[in-house]
Amino acid sequence: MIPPSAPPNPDLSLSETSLAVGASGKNPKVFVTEHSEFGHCTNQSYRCVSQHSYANPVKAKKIEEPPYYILITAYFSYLILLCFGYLRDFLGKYFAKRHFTHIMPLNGYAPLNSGFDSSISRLKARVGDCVAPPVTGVAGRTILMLDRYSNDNNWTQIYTGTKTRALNMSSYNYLGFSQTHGGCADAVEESINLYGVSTCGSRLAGGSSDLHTMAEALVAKFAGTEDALISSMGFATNSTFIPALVSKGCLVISDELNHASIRTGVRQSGAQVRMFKHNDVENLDSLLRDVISQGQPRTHRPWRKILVIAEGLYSMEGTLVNLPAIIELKKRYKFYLFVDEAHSIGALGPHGRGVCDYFNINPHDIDVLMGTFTKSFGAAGGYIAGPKSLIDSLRLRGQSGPYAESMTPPVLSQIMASMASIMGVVPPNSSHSASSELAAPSSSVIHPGAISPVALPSWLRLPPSLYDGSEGRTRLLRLAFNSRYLHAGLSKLGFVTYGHPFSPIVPLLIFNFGKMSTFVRMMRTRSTPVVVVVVTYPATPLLKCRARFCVSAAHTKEDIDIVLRACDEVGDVLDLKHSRGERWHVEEICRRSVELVEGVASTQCA
Amino acid sequence: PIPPPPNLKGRQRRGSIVKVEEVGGRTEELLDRNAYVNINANWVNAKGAWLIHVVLILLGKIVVDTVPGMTQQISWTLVNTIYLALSYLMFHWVTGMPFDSELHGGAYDDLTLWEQIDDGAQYTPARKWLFTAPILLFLISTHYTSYDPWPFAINLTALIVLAIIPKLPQLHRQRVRFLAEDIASGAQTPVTPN
Repeated sequence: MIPPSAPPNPDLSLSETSLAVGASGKNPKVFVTEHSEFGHCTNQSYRCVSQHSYANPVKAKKIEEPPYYILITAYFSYLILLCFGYLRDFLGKYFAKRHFTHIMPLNGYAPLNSGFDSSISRLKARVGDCVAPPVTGVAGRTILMLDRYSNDNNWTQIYTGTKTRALNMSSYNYLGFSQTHGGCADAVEESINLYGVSTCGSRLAGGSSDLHTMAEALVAKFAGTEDALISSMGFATNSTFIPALVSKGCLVISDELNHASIRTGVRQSGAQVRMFKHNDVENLDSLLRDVISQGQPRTHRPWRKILVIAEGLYSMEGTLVNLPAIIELKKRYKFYLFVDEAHSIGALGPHGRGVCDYFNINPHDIDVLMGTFTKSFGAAGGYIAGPKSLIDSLRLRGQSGPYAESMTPPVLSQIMASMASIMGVVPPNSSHSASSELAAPSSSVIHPGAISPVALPSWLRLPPSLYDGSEGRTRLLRLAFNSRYLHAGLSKLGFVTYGHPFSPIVPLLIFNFGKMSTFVRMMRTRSTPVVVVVVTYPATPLLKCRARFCVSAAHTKEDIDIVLRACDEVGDVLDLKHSRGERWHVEEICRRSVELVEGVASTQCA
Repeated sequence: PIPPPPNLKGRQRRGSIVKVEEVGGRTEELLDRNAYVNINANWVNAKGAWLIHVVLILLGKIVVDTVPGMTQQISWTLVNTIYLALSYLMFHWVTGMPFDSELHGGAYDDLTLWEQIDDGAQYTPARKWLFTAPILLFLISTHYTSYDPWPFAINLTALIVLAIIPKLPQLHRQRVRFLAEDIASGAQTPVTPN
């Protein structure tokens, strides 16, 4: 085990060649690698419980508008870009035909791109080295980037052959299960030896195995529902199973900012769609009254079904769904509710069971619970959990059943290992208090609780800290602390951030498209490089470009300090600090971190 | 009489001189339109979008007044007709969306801005304002032209043709076509009826 007395210097661990000597006989190279995938942190004060308090509710921050000169200069920069783009295209069509063949008719064929498209692609080429840097190795706490440079304005890139290890704030790795060493990785290797890499068929055509059945039962236990089904691709979980839920004559009411997979699924189904303003429950209320009273468009017949689709945690905004209010509406209007917990499962709640756990709501109150394994479990694919009758019907009617490949066994074992680590396994005949939960009759299953060893395959052996759930609990507590700390720290530095203060996604607003690439490059070329993701139009509104930090349980408090110091310096250079709240100095934030985090939870954030 | 074109002979039907045709009414287009929020059209409900009409008209009046030899009559008539012409161009001539048109699969390509407002719902506050603003401007301009017959005729015709008729709910998503050929090439996929 890693000795608690001498945690390695975080900067030291970021270099491949350094060797931190541990007191145990463990190979120091492995120790350093593990720390580069998952940060070691023993300070018990850096822990928080992720739970919604009804007495003292914490709401998402109000959207702060920047000063007018920022908006005007941002519009102006877009205008300059478009004007120059159109001018270049216009002149290029006559004077440099060789380079502009994509916007001219050629050999009797129509042009490949329209004028507007080619301006956008030129815009993207300017920031081409920031949007998709090639990386290698596992995307854990740190990530290894392949260095490259360009001589022709990012049209081509040349690799130098060297690699840089950078602090990784860009991967969805909420609980830090993205590791190449550890219990989950060993379980995956064992499963490949036993099951191979594929069951070679779709689920309904011979590709089901006992591993699938066990994994689905485990997912159902995790989500707190009767049954669950697993799909091999997260996007496809929505796009193939929503058409099995609704069809022509039904109505889907979805949030304005729902993911493309939900929109694809709804469009495929042929159901009518209406949208309500993001997280606005009054708007949803008045929309429901409108649609229920009017009925179907021309015939005014009542709708066959009304399904409201919301996400648990929105990945661009970092906002949480207002689930208690929507459940109240559900009791009044009696619609069906579908919650897409792609980002919130495993990341929210004191037991990591998602938004239901966070708000302390019975999962049986929600009709369809959907989630993905990509973010918190270090796996791939998605699941749908719900009543057994619903899941039985979806297995047959969903398009994945007969046509899509079944989930591959190594990924299934990764899912089972990570879920078991979060839930904890109770050994049989133990006097542990958890065993009394298991003695309850199956009709009143205690949720959330630990699982019995029979829920896992016999060959799946986890190390003790993962097996009893203590490591899983620690990861949840660390993630909650890290997210609150980064959010509160950036606010106190003066940046405009969106979203809920407890969400593990922290968007930092940059507003001006021109500053985005500079932000990324400045963060990447620091002494401790930091890799961030920047998002712009069309994923966000035109003026709301943002850098999106994805906090992980693998990060330590010192890593978040590095990020805060980096943002402080870069924000001063780029003039990004437009928040009107109170400001602290970055060293004071690092010193008073615990106090800051407790202040987030106790006061109502307006 | 003009002989019918060859591709109509088989159908035994005459080509019409004037035809009113509905656009964009297919179910697939309706569903495609609702896939994402229409940012091209929902600015009319934003803060300041109503006031901007008044501001632009006042600015236009000031600019027109600077022309030497301008009387009040001509000035108000000009402002009225220019406002009606520009708003017709913006709301009733140009179709489609400049941004995000691929997200909607081309379902907005045949719709004018007026038809896109509020997802096609009629009698909404934004439509009522956009209907009222040209009428108010017309009343002001007739007051200042002292009901002279010629300016009155010009203003009234412009109002009715450019502002009233296109905004009527009965003409929602209808197009008036003159001597339209009912061309159906054999390669076109047959459309399923609603």
